[in-house]
Order: sequence, then structure tokens, then C-alpha cells
Amino acid sequence: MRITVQGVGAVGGFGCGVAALAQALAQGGAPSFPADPAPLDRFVPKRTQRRLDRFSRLAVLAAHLALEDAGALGDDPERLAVVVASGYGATGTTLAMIDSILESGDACTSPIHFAGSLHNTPAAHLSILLGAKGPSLTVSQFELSVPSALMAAQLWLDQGRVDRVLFGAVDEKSELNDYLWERRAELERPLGPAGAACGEGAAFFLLSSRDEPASPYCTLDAVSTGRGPAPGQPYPGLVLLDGGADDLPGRRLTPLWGCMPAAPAFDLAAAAVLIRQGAEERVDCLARTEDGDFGLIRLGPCRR
Amino acid sequence: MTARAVPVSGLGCISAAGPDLEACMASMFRGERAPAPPVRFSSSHPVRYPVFEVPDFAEPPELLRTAALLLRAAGEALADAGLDRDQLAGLRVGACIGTTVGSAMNNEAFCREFRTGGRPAMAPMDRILRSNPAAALARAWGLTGPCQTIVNACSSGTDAVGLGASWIEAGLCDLVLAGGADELGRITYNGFISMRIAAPGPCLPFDRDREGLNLGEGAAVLVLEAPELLRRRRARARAFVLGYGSSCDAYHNTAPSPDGAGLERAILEALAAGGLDRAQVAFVNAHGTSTPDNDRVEAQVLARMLPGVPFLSTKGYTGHTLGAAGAIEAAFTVASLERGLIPGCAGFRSADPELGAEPVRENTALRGAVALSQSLAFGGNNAVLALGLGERP
Repeated sequence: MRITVQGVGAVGGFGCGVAALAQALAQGGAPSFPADPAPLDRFVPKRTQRRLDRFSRLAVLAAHLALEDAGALGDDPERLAVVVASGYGATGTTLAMIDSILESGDACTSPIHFAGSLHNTPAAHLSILLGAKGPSLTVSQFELSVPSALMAAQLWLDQGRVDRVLFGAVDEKSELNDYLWERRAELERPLGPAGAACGEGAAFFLLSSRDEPASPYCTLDAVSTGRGPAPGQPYPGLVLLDGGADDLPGRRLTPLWGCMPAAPAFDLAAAAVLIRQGAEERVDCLARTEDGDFGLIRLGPCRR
Repeated sequence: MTARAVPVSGLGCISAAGPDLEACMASMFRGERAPAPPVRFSSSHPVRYPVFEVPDFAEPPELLRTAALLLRAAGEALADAGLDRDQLAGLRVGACIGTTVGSAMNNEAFCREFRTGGRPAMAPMDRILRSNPAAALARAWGLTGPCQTIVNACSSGTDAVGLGASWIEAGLCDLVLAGGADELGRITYNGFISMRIAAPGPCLPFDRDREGLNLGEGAAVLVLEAPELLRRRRARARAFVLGYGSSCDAYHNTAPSPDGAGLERAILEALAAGGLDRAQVAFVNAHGTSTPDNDRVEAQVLARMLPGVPFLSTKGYTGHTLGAAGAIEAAFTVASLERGLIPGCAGFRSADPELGAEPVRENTALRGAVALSQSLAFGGNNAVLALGLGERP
């Protein structure tokens, strides 16, 4: 089964859209936070956006950008699945819900914040906004959320359950995450490489097993997760590294978007852009945890 | 059995109904249930909403209760399958686990200190980060295969079993420990009460006078095994995962679509995946939360699609265990198929004419070897497993 990446959408500290991401890749520079979900106005009426917290807005924006990039906005969603990854979920809304308890007591818990604190809320909003009635899945595997969720997307396409998957990842830089980041750095158990910023944003992709009319970015050749040495070494092309220490030669792009569990999705977006530009033929995105777990995503060129 | 059937070689379960699967089944067939106000945490609500807590279970300090419940159920399931740590060592073993609480960064004491200007110690958050259910299970048993924690709200456990089965089908694993786990806590308790879907008394699934759900906690694990490995070990399949279907209502974040079309789609997909005919379904283990909306939609779909097929909700015995529910109910479904008997739907007393169908009132003998176990969830998710009876011992 040939799976192609048909569209890419991303919003983060580097800006919004594939062009901003490509510019960050070409020119470098430090990300600026918070990420701005305001361009969502192009896709979703403001009145509807009132139901979405910041976490969901980032995800919904990146998803619409990916569909737009693929020329698939408004397409029939009948055989479309939605698969979302997040390491920490909607921590801003979670904290707001706990605030409502702390400030006003148990009987005043905010039902809106409680419902919004669930990890699968962005996937639900996306399905509602797009009318997507196929399978919907949200995965939270901390640093390996992206490869783990992508494995499910790939499987569903391989099985023929669906023929398109709107796949993506989102994490936000809330007060809570900032504090965790700061304290872990102080305790010399950092959540990311020394000097790296705590990041936020969302990166989405339209994956397809169809023979699509539009020219795709690249093919999704393999996804694997597990513990121990990652398979397939030595890698033939560029290796993008994320997470724990690894002695493989490769590039770390995390400084462009900041550290977050969703970061491997930004690596994936960068890899897709580099292959489409012809700058690279094959890219392997390897994420590792301190415990020795790995997630490997392998992308290759499109040859019809 | 179809070519896609995935053997289930072991089962483990812990819930308020019992500390293991056999104890759960025995207490349900005796019609026992004991919802009561929470003991492990306090609340200032004027009404003491009942819950189903797991008694006599203490988690170790380094793990969330969710992960500890999961490890208990996994230990039982592996023992049931006749597998020990040494046997797992040479195999590709995956962990696919559903949860809601087990992956949430929501420690109340930590946040209270943070909000009052303190610098809370990291221990509570480190514990959360150590307790991702699938990762905790993989670490505890030295598993080296794929690891996935599914957070699809209340359908997570059903989705985890369905996804885990697809890993076996795809040849990614020799074995998958698939299931779900969730714990009771103050935040979840307050949250469901705030949404006005918690009942002030014992829950009454599908009853005319139902007022809402009772929360519960627990875990269940199914050992899914590649047929080749099962043959090599000369082990037996207690059951088969015959099909899995899932869908999204795309209607509302916290309410099911009134037409039930999403659930219908998931049921049809599960049946089609298993090459099954509706007439083969012996019973349905329904989601049956006892909320007015869920039970109305679910019963109407069952009345329309599977008229006359016995159904029940086991949440009257366990409470709603959220991300664990689908796995616990899958385990109950298998154990019921093995016995040829389902328990009466605890809490059901009076038929609701709006529903068009009513669950079994008493323990009921089964005809057939296939059953459905289904879950509906916030986010509009619907997930359905088709489970088939395995080989007799």
C-alpha cells in the first residue's frame, strides 16, 4: 500500500503555514511564543471558535491548513479518519478546571473546562467541523505520541478501513507546562536538551492511500515503535533526531519550534518539505526516550 | 471463525465487582452491587453521589492508581494465558491500553500550591509521567513491542482491544496486552457531577427513572495472541476478537447523536469485519451508562438493528469505569459466552416506552457463540467489538 503525504499544515513559534515553516528551516532563528491561532478566522467563524480552547484552536488551525495545502477543503469526508497525538493534552484548560474548584468549591467545578480537559477534544471538534464520521483516535504516549499515533493511521490506511487520514499532533505552552519545564531544568532532569525552549504548536497532515490528482510531498514508508535499537540502521538519508540522547549522526530541528511531545510532528513536516523541495531524497525521523524507547518514521520520495 | 479472528488467550480484570474476573462474574450472577459515597477522597458536595470503588487495593507510591490497577489485571491475564516473564522475553509483545485519567496532568494538590504562589515539588507530576498506562505496563513486564495509550474518553478500552487486535492481524506483534484502566478521583467526580450526568442514587441502566451514572474504577487486560504462537505453545483461545468497528458522530462534544447513526455504523463495521450476520449475535454488552441520552440512543439503535437480541449493561455492578469500561466489558462478554449465561441488568426495574427495547432483568441463558461489546464516548466516539467463543478446555 502506497501512502502519500498530500498536505501539511503547521502553526508554532515560527509562524503559521508551510511557507513559514520552510523559512524557519532555511534561515533558522529562535521561535517566538505564544503561537498565534488567529488565522483560524479564515476557516472557522468566530462564533464557533468560542467553543474551542486555545489547545483545540491550534489543532483545528493546523488541520485546516493541511487540508487547504492538499486542496482538500470541502472534500467528502466519508472515508476520512481523524488521528491526533498529544503528549500532555489541554493543560491550560485542565488548570482552569482545577482553578474553578480551588476558587469556588467542589460544587462550582466548571463543566465546560472539565469537558474541554479531555485529550480527545480537538479530534471531536475536527470531526464536527468537517462532518467526518469515520474512525477518530487520540493517542497520548508522552514523547512518543506522534509515532505511536501515526502507526494507527498507517495501519488503517493499509487495512483499507479508510483511504484518507487527517493526522496531527498538538501541545501547548501553558503556565503548568512552563513551570514543569523550569523546575525540571533546575533539578537537572530537563524535559529537553539544555538551552532549548518549551514549545507549543500543532502540525497536521493529510495522508492518503488514494491515487490523488495533486502532487504529494512524499511517501510514508514505515512507522515503528518499541524498545531497544531502532530498526533499519544505517539510514540512507538525513536523520532528524528528537528526544533523548542518541549517538546517531543527524540534525536536531527542535530549536526551531521548541521542545514539546508533539515536536516529532514538526520534524515530520520539515522532512516532507525537504523531500518536496528536492533537498533530501529520504528522511528518517527518530525520537527516543530516556528509557530507551524509540519511534521511527521513514519518508521517501514519490515516484509514480 | 473467520480468517481475521484474533485469539484471546488470557483475561484479567479488577473492578468494584471483584478483585479478579472469576470473582466479578460470580458477584454479578449473584446480583450483588454496592455503590456508596467515596471513601478514598472527600467532597463538599451537599449530595453524596455514590460510586463503585475497588476495595482493599492500595497503589504503590511511585505509580498512579490507574497504572497499579492495570498491572494487577495484566498479571492475572498473563497467568491465565500461561505466560511468564521468561516466555515473554523472546517475543514481540505490544501494549495497547485505553484510559482517561491515566494520562491527565491534573494533580489537585500540586495545582493548589502552584496557584497560591508556592513552588510545588515535582513528585506528583513525575508520578504522572511514570504512569502512562501502556508505558508502565511495558516497563513492568519488559515488553519491547509497540506501546500505545489511547485517550478516546469512554470508548478507549474498546478501541484499545480493537487496535491491539489489528497489530496481531498486521503481523506487528506475537502478543498484545490490550485493555483499559482508570481510577476514581476528586476531579473526575466533581467533573461528572458538574455536567449533571451523575445520579444521586444507584444507577438504573435503561430504566424509565434513570437519572445518570455512577462512576467506578478498575482495569481489564486481554492477552491477544498470534494464531501461530498459540499453536506453538499448545495453548487454547478462550475467545476470538472477530471484528472491530468505530466511528464518530460528528455531532456534539458531550452528547450522542439522537439518530444513533454513528453507533449503527460502528456495529455494521464490526460485524462486516468478522464476516458476521446479525442473526449470529447472542447478546450485546451495551454501554448503558444510565444517563437519559446515552441509554435512549443506544436502546433505540439495538431495537432497530438487533431486535429481540438480549442485551444488558454491567455498569450497575461496576459503575462507569471510563477508559477501562470497554476492556472490562469485553472481559465480561467473553466470560459470559463461556458460561452461556449473562447476568441480569442490575438497576433495571421499569421499561421506558421511549426506548423500544429493554435489557434482561434476570440471569439469562444464551443461544449462540458471538456477542457484541460496545462503547460510546465524549467526543462522539462509538466503538464496537465482535467477540466469539473460543475453544472449550
